[in-house]
Amino acid sequence: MAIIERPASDTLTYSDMDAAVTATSSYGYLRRPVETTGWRSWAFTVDHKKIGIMYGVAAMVFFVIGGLEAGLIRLQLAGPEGTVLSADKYNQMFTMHATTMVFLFVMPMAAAFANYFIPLQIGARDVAFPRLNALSFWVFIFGGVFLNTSWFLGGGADGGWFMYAPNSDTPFSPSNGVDFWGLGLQIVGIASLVGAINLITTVLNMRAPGMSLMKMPIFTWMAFVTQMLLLFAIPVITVALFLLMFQRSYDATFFSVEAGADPLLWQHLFWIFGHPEVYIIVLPSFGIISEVLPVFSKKPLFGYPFVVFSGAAIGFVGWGVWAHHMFASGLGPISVAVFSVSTMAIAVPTGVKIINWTLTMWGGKLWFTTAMLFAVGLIVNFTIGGLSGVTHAVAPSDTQQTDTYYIVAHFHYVIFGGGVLGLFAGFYYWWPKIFGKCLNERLGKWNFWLMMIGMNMTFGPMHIIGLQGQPRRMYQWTEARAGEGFFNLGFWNLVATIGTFILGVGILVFLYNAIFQHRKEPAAPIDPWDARSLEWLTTSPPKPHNFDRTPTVHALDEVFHRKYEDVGEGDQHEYVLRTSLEDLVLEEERHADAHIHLPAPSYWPIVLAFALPIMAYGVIYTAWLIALGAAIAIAAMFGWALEPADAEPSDFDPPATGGESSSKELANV
Amino acid sequence: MITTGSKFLIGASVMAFVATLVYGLGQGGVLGTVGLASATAGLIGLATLNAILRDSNVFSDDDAPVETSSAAQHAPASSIWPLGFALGGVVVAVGLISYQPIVVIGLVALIATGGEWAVQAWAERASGNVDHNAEVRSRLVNPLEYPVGGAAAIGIIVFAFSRVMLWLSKTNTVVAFSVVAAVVVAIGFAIAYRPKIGIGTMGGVVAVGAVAVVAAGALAGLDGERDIPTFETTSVWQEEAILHPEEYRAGAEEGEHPAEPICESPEEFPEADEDVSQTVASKSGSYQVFLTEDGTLAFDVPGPVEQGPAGMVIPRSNPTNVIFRNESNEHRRLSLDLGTETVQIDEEDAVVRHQICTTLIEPGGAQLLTVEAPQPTFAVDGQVNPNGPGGEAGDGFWFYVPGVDTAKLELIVP
Amino acid sequence: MRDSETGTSLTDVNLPNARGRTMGFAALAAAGLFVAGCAQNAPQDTTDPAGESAQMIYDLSWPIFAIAGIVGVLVISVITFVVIRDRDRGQPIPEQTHGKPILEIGLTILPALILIGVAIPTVGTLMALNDYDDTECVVNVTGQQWWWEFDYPVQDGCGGITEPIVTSGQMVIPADTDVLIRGTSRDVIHSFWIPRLNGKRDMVPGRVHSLKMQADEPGIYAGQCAEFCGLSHANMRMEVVALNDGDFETWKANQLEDYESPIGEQALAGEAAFVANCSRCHQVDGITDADGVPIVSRPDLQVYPGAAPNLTNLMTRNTFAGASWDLIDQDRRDEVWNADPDEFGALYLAGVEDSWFNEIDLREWLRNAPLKKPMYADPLQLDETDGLYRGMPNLALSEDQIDDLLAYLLELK
Repeated sequence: MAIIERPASDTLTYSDMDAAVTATSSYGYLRRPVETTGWRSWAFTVDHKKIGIMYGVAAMVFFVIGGLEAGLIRLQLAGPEGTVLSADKYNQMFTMHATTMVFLFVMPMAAAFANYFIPLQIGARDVAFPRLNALSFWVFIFGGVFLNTSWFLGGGADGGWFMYAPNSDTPFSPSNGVDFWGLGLQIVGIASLVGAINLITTVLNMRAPGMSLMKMPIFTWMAFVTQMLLLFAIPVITVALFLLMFQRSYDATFFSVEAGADPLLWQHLFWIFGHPEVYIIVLPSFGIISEVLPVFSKKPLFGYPFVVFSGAAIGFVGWGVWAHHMFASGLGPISVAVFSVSTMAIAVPTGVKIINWTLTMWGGKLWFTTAMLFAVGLIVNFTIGGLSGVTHAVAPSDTQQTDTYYIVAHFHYVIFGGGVLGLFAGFYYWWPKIFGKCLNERLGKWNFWLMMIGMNMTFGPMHIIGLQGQPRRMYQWTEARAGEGFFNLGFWNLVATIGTFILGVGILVFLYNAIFQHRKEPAAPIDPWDARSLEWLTTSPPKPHNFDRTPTVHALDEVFHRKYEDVGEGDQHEYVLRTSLEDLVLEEERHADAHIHLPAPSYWPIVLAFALPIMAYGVIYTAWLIALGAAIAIAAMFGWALEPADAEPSDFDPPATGGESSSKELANV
Repeated sequence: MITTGSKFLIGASVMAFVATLVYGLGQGGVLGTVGLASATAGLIGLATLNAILRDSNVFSDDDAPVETSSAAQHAPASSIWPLGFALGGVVVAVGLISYQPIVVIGLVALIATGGEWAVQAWAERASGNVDHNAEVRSRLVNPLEYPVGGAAAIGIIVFAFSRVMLWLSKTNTVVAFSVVAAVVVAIGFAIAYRPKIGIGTMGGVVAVGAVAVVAAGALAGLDGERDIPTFETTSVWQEEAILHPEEYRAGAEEGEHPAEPICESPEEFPEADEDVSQTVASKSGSYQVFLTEDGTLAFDVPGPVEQGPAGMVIPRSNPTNVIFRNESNEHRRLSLDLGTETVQIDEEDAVVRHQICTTLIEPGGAQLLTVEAPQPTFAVDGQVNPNGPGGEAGDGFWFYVPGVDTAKLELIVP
Repeated sequence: MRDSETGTSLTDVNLPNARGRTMGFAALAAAGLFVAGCAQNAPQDTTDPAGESAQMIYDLSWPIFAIAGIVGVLVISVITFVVIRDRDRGQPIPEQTHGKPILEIGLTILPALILIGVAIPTVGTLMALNDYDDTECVVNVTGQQWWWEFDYPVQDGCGGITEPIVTSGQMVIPADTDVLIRGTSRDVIHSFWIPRLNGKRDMVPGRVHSLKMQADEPGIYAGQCAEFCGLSHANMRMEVVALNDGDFETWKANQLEDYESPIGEQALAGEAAFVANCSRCHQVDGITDADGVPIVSRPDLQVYPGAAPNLTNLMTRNTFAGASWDLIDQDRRDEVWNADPDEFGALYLAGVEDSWFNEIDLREWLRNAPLKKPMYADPLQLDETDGLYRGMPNLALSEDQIDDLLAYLLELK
C-alpha cells in the first residue's frame, strides 16, 4: 500500500534487545529523491496530481502534432489533384494522425483526468500504486516519442491506423514505419495496462468511508468502466502487435497468405480491441459532462443508476459488436446479420445517456459557462454521430458507406464531438481546481464557438462527400469524379478544409488562454461553480495530501448536501445555503488527521520506462540494443525493489506547530 | 577494511579466474571453460554485491554493530539451499561422467541454490530483527526470483501440459482439456462463493494442481508422444523423381516406392500417402473437382452458372484452392499437368513436365490442391500433353487421375 | 437522387411497390434538390442506384436516414427548448430529484422498439443481397496493386463464352442481367465498389468472395477501390460498362478476334518495340515472334503480384493504368458518359479512334510511369520483394520508341 501509517519515530526499536537499526538506511546507498522544486520534483514524482498534469501537458503536445497532421491532410484534399503531400507522405500522415489522436491524445488526456480526479473524487490521498502510476506515465511518454521518431528515421507508418494485413507486411511497407508503429503501440499499451490495474485497484479499495459504489461520483464510475475495458482490450491488441512484430522482424507467417494464413485474422484481432477502444475514448468524456451538467443545472444527474448501468452495459456489449467494422470484408450474411443486430442493441444504452443528460437540464437552473457550453455541445454533436452510426449499423447500408468520408464524418462526430468536447468541458470545469485560477471565460466562449463551427464545417460536409462516393485514405481526388451542382465534391472538400482551420484557430485560442491568459487571471474562489462532488472539499489546488481529514461520505453529491439544506416541507423543496465551501474546507483543516503519510518520490519508474524504447530500437536495428535495454530494465527493477520505503528521516518537514500531539510528517512530494 | 565474507568471495573469484585461464588455455575443453567462466562471473557478481552492500549498513569501520546487529542474537533459520547446492554438485559430476547436457542442469542448480544460500546467510546477519531481515532478503532477491521463477513455472507447466496433450489420443485431448477447464471453473466458483477462504487452502489447491500437471507431464513424457504421422508432401516425391532420376530409379528397384513419379502413379507412396488427413479447411468459395463413380472428372465453381463442357477456368498467377472430392470406389489422387518447365538438373537446363497432385484419397474423402499457373494455356499450344486425352485435344493443362484413363478435365488459364 | 425522373423509372422496372416510398423521400429531399437544380451529382453517388442490388440497399437506407434525421431533429429541438427555457433567470434551486424510473424505462424501451423495427428489414435485405441463385453470368475479378483484372471464364452464362476473355480497368457486362462477381486478390486486400450498382465487398487474397451486380440500363458506372491498399490506393479505379445484349455479343466477338499484326510502318516498328520492352509483363494474345512462336509474358518473374494488365484489345477500353486516366479525350468522354442509354452501346464499341485519342496521358505514362502514378518501382528499394517491382517501372524509352508504341497500341482493338 502506498499510504502507510508509520509510528511517530523513524527508528525501529525492538524491546527485547538493545540493537537499533534504522530501517530506511538499511538498504545501502539507494536513497529516494527528495526535491520539492525544479525538474526533479516532476521527473521523479509519484504524486497522482503532478502525474495527471504531466499526462495532460504531454497529451496536449501530441494533440498539436496530430492536429498539424490533420491540417496537412485537409490542405492536400482542399482541391483536386492536391500536391501538398506525396502519396507516400499522405499515407503516413493519415496513419499517424489517427494513431496520435487515439493513442497519444484522447487516451492519455482521459488518463490525465482519471489520475488527477479519481483519488480526489473518492477521498483518497493517492492512487493504490504511486510508483506504478509514475511508471505508466513515463512509459507512455517514451512510447509516444519513440513512435514519432519514425518521422526522422525513414518515415512514419503508412498502413492506416487499422494496419490491415497483409498490406502491413514488409514487401508492401518496406520502410521501418510500421515497425515503429507496432512497437510504439506495444509500449504505450503497457502504460495503459499498468494504469488500468492501478486505477481499478484504487477505485475498489481506497474509497473514503461511506462511499459505496452507488455513491461514487459519475466521472469516477465512467473512468472505472474505461479502465476495465482497457484491462481486457489492451492484451488483445498487444497480441496482434506482437504477431505483427514477428511477422515483420523475424519472418513469421501469421498473416502470409502464401503460407496458408487468412488475413482476416488480423482484422478480428484488431477490431476486438478496436471497438471497445471507441468506448475507452468516449466514456471518460461522458463522465466529465455527467459531472458538469448537474453542477451548472443545479440538479443531480437525472437517473444516476441508469447512467451508471448504461455505462457498464456499454462496457459489456461493446465486446460483441467488433465485426461491424468488417461488414464489407466478406464474412458471410449470417455473421453480418448477427453483428448488425448487436450493433443496434448498443445504441440503446447510448441513447439512455443522451436522454438522461437532457432530462438533467430539464427544469434546472442552467448557467452557461464555457464548461457547460462544451457539455451541451457534446450532447448535440454526439447525437448526430450516434444517429449516423445507426445508419451503418444497418449492414447493407454500411456496405455503401464504409471506407467513405461518411464514416470519417461519423466517427469524428463520435470521437471529436463525443470525446474531445467532453475533455474541453473538463478543462474549463476543473481548471480552477487544478491551478487555482479559472480560464478566461470570454476567450473560452470564443474557443467554444470557433471549435463548434469549425468541427461542424469540417466533419458535416464529409457526410455529403461520403454519400457522393469519395472513399477515405485517397491522397488525391479527381475532378472527373467530383460531379457538379450543390453536392459536388470540390465545394464541400474546400468547406471542410476551411472548417479545419477554423477549428485550429479555436484550439489556438484555448492554448493562448491556457498558457498566456491564464497567468493574468485572478485567483479563483474555492468554489467557483457551486460544485457538488468530493474533489471540491479541499483547497485549490489541492494540497499534496489531498484532504486534511479523510472525508466521510453520506450521499451522492456529498459537497452539495453539506452546503445546502432542504428547508421545504413535504413535496415542497426549498434549498438554502447553510455553509459556504470555504467554511467547510476550514473545518476540515481544523480537524486535520495526524500523521498523514505520503509515498516518497522515486528515481526508478523513469529509468525503467526508458529501457523500453531502447529495446524497441533494438528490435528494429540491432539485437545488441535489446540486451542493453534489458540490462537497464533489470537494473531499474532492482533499484525499484531496493529502494527504501521512505525518504531519509532528516529530509522530512519538521513537525507542524500548533497542535499538541498532531505532528504532521509530510514526505517531500 | 574488507569484511570476512568479501575476503572469501574475492579470493574465490580470483581462484576461479585463474582456474578458468589454466583450464581454458591448457585443456581447451569448451564445456569446462564455460563452466569455470560462469563460476568466475557468478563469484565476481556475489563479491561485488557483498562489497557494495557491506552486510547491510554494518560498515567495516563501525564497531557497534559487530555486537549489536549480529545474527548471533538469533540462531540461523533452517535452509534448504545447502541440500540443493550439494545436489547440484552431484548432478554436475554425474553429467560429466555420463551425459554432458546434464551438466548445464547441475550448473543452473548450483548457481541458483548457491546464490540463494549466500543471500540468505547475508540477510540473516543484516540486523537483529528477524522480520526486518526477511524483508531485506525479499527486496534483494525478489526482483530476480519473481520474473525468473514465474517464467520457469509457466514454462514447466506449459511443457508438462504439452507432454500430456501429445500423449493422449487426438479425441481424448479434447475430453481432457474440457475436463480440466471444467475443474478450473468449478474451483473458481467454489472460491468465489467462499470469499473468506484461507490463502493457505487456495495455495494448497493451486499447488496440488501444479504438482498433478507436472507429474502427469513427467509420466506422459517418459511414455512418449502418441503416434503422430508425419507427411511428406507429394511435391517432395515429385521433385525427387525429376531432379534425381537415377537415385529415384534405384529406389524403385529396391521396392522403396513405385516406379513412376508420384503424380503419375495410382499406387500408394510411403509417407506421402499413408494416413493422410482428410480434413479440408474450406475457405469461402472454393473450386471443386469430383472424381465420379463412372470414372470421369466433373467440377463445380462458386455461383450457379454452368461453365459448359470446355473445362475449368482459373485466374493466372494467383494461388487458387481446388478441393478434390473422390466419389469413386478406389483410392485415387488428383493430378494436374501444367505443361513443361525448365529446371536445372546437375547444373544443366532440362525441360521437364510441371505436375502437382494430391495424396491418395480414400473413397468419399477430399483434399485441397492449391493451383498456381504462371503461364496461360495458349503458351503450351502445339505441345502435346501426355496426360491429356491424347491426339489433337491433348495440348493445354489437364487434370487427370492416375489409373483412370477416362478421368480428364481441362484447366484453362487465360 | 440525380433527378426524380430516373428514380421513378427505376422503381417502375424493379420494385413497383417501392415507388410511393421513393416519391415520399424525393419530396423530403426536395429542398436539397431545389438547390441542386438539375446539375449532375458525382458518378459515385451512393444515393442514385442504377441496379437491383443498389436499389435494395437504397430502399432500406433512406427510411433509416429519415428516422435518424427525425430523431436527431427531435433531440436537438428538445435540447434547444430546455436551453432556452431553463437558463438561469434567477429561479430557485430546483428539486434535487434523481429521476423517475418509469420515465427512464419508457425512454429506454422506445429506442429499443425503433431499433427492432430497423433490424427486421435489415436482416431481410441482407439475405436477399447475398442470394446468388439467380445470377446468369460470371466474371472473375482479381485485384492487385493498383488495378483490377476482369476475366470471363468459359461458361454458358453471359450469352455463352467459349474462350476466356481477359481485360482490365473496365468490366463489361450485359445490362439488365444478374452478374456474379467472383473476386479475389493477388496481394493485399482490395475492395470492389461500384456505388450505383451495389455496396462494396473486400477482395481478400486466399479467399474468393462473391458479389451480385446488375445494371438496369446500358451505361458506364464509376467505381473505386475502397479498401486502403498501399501507395497508389487513390489511383485504383474501375468502371463497369453495361451494354445491351446485342452490343455485348459484339463486344465478346471483338475480344476473341484473332490477332493481326498492324500494317503501317510506324505501327510495325511499335510492335517490335512492344515485343522488346513490354511483352515481358504485358500479354497481347496472339502476338508471335518472327518464327511464329507465341510470345508469352511472364509477369510473375517481373512484378510482385505476378500479373500485369493484358493489353489485347486495349483500345476497346476507355481507360488505362487502373482506370486512372482516359484513352479518349475530354469531349469524347463527356459524350460517352452522358450518352442516352440507347446510343451508349454504339459510342462505347467505337473504342478509341485517332480523332479522339487522348495521347497526352498515355505518352506521359510511357515516358515515366512511376512519376505519373506512385508505384514501388525504384530498383534500389526492392530488397523486400527479391527485386520484383510493384507497378510499372520507368522503362527509359526514347521519344521515337514512344511514338512507335503509341501508333502500335492504337491498333489494338
